[in-house]
Amino acid sequence: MSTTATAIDTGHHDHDHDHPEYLQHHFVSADQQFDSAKMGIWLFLVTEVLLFSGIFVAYAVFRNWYPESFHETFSTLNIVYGFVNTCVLLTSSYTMVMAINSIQNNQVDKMVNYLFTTVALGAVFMLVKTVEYKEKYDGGIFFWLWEPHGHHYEHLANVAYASIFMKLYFVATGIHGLHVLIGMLLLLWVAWKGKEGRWSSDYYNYVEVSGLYWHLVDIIWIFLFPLLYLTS
Amino acid sequence: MAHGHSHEGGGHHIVPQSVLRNTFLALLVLTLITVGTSMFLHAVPSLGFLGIPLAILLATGKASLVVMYFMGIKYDKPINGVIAVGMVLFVVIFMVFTMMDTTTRKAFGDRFGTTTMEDAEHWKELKAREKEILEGAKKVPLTPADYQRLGAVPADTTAKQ
Repeated sequence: MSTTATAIDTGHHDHDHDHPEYLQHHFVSADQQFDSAKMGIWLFLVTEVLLFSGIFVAYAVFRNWYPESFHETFSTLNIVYGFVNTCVLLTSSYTMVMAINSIQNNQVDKMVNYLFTTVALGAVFMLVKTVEYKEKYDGGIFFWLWEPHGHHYEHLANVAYASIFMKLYFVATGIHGLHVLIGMLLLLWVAWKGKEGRWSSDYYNYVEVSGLYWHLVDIIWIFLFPLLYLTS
Repeated sequence: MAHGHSHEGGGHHIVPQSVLRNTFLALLVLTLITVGTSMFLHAVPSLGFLGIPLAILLATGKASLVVMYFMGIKYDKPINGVIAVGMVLFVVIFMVFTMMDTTTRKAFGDRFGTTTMEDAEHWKELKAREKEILEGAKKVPLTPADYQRLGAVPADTTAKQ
């Protein structure tokens, strides 16, 4: 197995210390450390998915109970915002895998650039989201606010249970947006450490696992986009 | 070090750039198809029931591409694949069992009895009472036209105006 091979390799490498600096003492080899980190993040992603599936289940239940209400309320969301943000997040996932591909080929500068691009795309996503939230807020609709007014929203005041869909929209996109924000901070840190020369093709565990997290955030949006914006 | 065995299919498999690019393009195309089908279904309301199944199918396809190629499950250790599949299974159980409950609740909206049969019996009683009340309501005069329909002439309609 590759694990044993690495253990022997590191043995040969030995001069002043008996293992590379990044290898923590409780791991047999760098490969084992890498695989453990990855599996740990996958288990964490399971808990993330269960968090979001609660929202998706609430959506399914309420949509089943009040289909007319959902149908009426859907039309107030702007498909263009949703579509643009979908493309932005998909592109950011692509730049993320390219960052990992770069560091696997030991191209540190390229990796840093791709990481900063990913963060920038995350910022674009959050900006579009903010514009969208602002429009709703001006229409009297927000997380804790339900006083629909203005020609685009006022009819919602006469739709029974209309607030359920809108509040679901805010909770779902709000928690998702929070994840995007955390992902951006994480990737900024990873990019910064990359600039300092911390990662190489031998050791890029943090780049890899932050990437996994970023892709999950993308996957959540892949489901949120059609369910919130498209299927009226 | 890791160079020696970086292509053995362990944690350090390098996915070819062409695969990554094609995955990205496929994701964009599937997004366009998702928006396209939604617009088509808006134009043809009789097929509206396909909206949710199609949207979920396309989203699942996109998510699978991300999981397989971007997250590298295709090239990864099998254990991570097992975790990913288990994750989907948990969500399906959560969703299906909740829907089994919530979609069948309405039939027994007013629960007074303790057994299903008692509920059904009580439901019948409530329905009968509801019918009585509704028919009674029709006999209550509210507008001048109601008074005429019921054969009674209101004494004070003009007085109130």
